[in-house]
Amino acid sequence: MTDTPVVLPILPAVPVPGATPFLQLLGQSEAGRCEGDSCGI
Amino acid sequence: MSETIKVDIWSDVQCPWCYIGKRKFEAGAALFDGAVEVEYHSFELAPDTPVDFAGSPVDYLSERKGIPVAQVTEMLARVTGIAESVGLHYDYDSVHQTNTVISHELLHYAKVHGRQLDMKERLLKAYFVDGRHVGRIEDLADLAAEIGLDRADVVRALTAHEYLADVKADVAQANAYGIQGVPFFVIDGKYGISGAQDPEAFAGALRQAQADQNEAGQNETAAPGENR
Repeated sequence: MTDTPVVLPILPAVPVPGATPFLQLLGQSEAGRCEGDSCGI
Repeated sequence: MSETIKVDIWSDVQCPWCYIGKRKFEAGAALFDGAVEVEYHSFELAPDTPVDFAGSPVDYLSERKGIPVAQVTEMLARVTGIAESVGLHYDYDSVHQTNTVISHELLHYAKVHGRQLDMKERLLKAYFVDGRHVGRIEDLADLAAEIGLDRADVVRALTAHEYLADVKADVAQANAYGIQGVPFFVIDGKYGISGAQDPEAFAGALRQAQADQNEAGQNETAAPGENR
């Protein structure tokens, strides 16, 4: 045993923007959507 | 017996695919043998748009955003045709390009008063079909009154921006989910569906969420027996 403290990593409270770590994406990727001013297939 | 499946939908009032996606989702939900609860959330595609933009959507997208007129025209013609295929008669010649933040505040007001779904449908139709303005408080209050909400109270709440914080919270949650475009559907808090998918995609996701609930329920039922 040592006296060295164990430092646990701090997990982020919310997912990192741009990622969907806890959402499983379903469906076809080519469905129509709007991103900003662009609305395409 | 499965519980109600919650569906959270991020959407903007001036998003053509959101109205089309709404129709396709509704068709998918009709194929699903179970209860569904829908809640709409705010997403601002163009928060820098002025309330009273003097011009058409073609002008806005070509002049202010630098998209070639031919590309804008082709894009709108395509989406108008697809809207027709789901029974929506878009009229881009009458559309008032505007800022939608106050319309999102109205959707939160309507949610508190139990009328969010009716308000969402009225706002989308007002913008894409009826040529109504959805960025000014007085116009929005007229639309709210049309579905039975208290016009004077709507004017009061929107003038005070009582629900602006709720709009911003929705936008923040969208960022947390990594949502970059709309419509975006979150099924039972675990499955994401991006875009105006075909009805069967929505029905399949609802069935998957239902199966998950049933499996979880069976595990909870079986667990005590395992300890006996």
